[in-house]
Amino acid sequence: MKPTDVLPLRPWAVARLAVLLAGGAGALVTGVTLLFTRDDHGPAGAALGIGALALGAAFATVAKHLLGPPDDEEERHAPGSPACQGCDPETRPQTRRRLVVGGSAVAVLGAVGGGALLRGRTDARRELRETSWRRGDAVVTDDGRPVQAGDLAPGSFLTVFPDHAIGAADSQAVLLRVDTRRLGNRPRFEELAPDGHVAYSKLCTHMGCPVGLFQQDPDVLVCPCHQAVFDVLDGARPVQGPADRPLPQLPLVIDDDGTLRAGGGFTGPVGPGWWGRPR
Amino acid sequence: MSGTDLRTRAERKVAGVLRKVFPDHWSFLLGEIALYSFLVLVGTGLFLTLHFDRGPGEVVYDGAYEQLRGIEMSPAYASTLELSFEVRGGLLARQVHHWAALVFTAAIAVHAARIFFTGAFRRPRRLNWCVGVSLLMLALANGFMGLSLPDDLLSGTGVRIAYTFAQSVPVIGPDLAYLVFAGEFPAEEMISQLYWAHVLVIPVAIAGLLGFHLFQVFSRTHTQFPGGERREGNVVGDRMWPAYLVKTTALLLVVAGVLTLLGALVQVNPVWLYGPFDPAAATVPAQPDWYLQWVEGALRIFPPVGFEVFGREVPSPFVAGVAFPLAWFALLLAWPFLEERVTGDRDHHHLLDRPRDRPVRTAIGAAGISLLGLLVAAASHDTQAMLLDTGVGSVTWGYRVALLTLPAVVAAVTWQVCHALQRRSAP
Repeated sequence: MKPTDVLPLRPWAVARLAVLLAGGAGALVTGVTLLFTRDDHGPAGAALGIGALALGAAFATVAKHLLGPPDDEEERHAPGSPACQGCDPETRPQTRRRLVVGGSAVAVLGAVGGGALLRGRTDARRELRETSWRRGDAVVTDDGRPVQAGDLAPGSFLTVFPDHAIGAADSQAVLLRVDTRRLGNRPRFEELAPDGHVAYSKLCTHMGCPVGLFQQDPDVLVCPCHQAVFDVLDGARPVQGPADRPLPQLPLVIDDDGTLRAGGGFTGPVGPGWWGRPR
Repeated sequence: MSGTDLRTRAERKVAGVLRKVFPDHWSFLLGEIALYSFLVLVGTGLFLTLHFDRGPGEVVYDGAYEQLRGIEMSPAYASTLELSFEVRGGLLARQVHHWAALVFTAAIAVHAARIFFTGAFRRPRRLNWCVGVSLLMLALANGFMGLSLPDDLLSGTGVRIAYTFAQSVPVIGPDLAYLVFAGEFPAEEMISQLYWAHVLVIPVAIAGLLGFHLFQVFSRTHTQFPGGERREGNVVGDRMWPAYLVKTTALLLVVAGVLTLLGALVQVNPVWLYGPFDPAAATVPAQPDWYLQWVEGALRIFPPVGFEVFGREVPSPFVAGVAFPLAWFALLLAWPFLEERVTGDRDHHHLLDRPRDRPVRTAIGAAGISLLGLLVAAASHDTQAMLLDTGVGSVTWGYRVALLTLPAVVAAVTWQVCHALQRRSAP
């Protein structure tokens, strides 16, 4: 250590140090006490924070006023500096070779390990493709109540599930009642949507968020995440925003006692796309 | 070798370490702020693991927060509520942990910018730059997973979006999504799997890389700015003992103090307001934490172009959510090598550049930062549309135009400013 590394003791610096140390310790003790005596965390945390800051200031005082300035000097012993001959691993050929060999080994191990982890998960594609909806499933709300034809006033909207899979994320659908007079001449639509009851997958085809907003005039479903807009009267075709695929439709039928039932599964895979998604 | 020899060798080594000199400049503290935020993260995180319940199953909440009593939720969300309202010091620990994550990622980002603009990534520190960029990636990934653990409505929407990104990857997308998120979204084991990644796998990886990062700083020595007695062949600054250790302890205490004050006084992530995750519901407006917003912004602004390869689908989220971030990190990783190739400068550098003396590099860096800044701003473009009383579509187009023009303007202005500063500082 150089003689200049420690400055002469200056009384005011020592006094400041003493105040900071005492204050910091006091604040920490207060903080711990408050933490164990009060139910709100604010005052306790504030006291603990102030205590740590005061102790930090004490160390800074030591560094600034009791120790020397940052003017110590030493020779640089690093790759590329004059004091270091032949100690540069970045350019030593055997090190480079070792790096290449090691890197390749890690890459091969990673590929093998990753492949092993991915194997046996081939059911992923089937599960992404399928939902719980089967022909004849009763359409129920999230509390299990079957939906009757006519329950819904035109212009209203419900989130529905198949009766045997309430809450299943991939099977959630929006059930809407639209005014049949506004449908015009859309025979296929009418076939899937008896008496103006129409259901679409609630999973946005953009990012998979639930398409939770229904607006009228024009009748559109809007996804709150990225504002994809789907035309309810035209097979949920995307008309604005980032989605590039319609929401799959759920064919509906009304049985003899007026209960809404699925006429089959969705007209296509639900949610965002993936490599190999069937058309 | 005798025991005495061994002891003297060890003593000499320790003495050498304690005598080592570290250069002194405020900007060299940025990395230390990241390091100390990480220590705070580990400390508060250990406390949180004692009380967090990763599931599986559902519980009916009957805790202290009245508004949610009687509601079915995951054990993860219920235990987060318990931490927030019933565990002594729980909310303080949660909020300090969250603030520490925000500061950790911010400190790494600013530290990386400092390294970039001063050319500290050049030989012999190219490898350490790559280690640092890897640490940034791990920090972002772990921040995302930590956000996801409370299983509230906001975080669940975030996981859904991340799931779709994974699913969009060509060839292995569905397998990747199933591997990372434990099955079809939302899988029973999902929170549990994210939990182990968040508290064990990624922190251990961060700690290991961080150790290597610091060892490299040590063995390859620290850079310094030119001026005074400072030359390529020497190091001027504080000896490890006492000055450097005293100063860095001060910084540790200040970082811990500021984070504790933030956690005590500034509310962050009030999950009880969002409600439990329900795959059939979403919150609006919703943004992730700041360090993920550039990806969210890209998703909102990039044209949603899905395409086909060999007749197979590559859905549109792939470009904004996977290809763009990966390309960005690849560019960062490759930068030292690209710059070396372009400039032909393969020398070792221990003296730092002043940004003005490298106008092209500085201009490119400034352009990159302006691009990221625009994307962060674009992550809340729906709220801005509402404030401006205009359509989301027009705000989107405004950002698209800005994205294509502003970085070029920023680069040109920065280049000019660098040259003006050079002229002014010329003797």
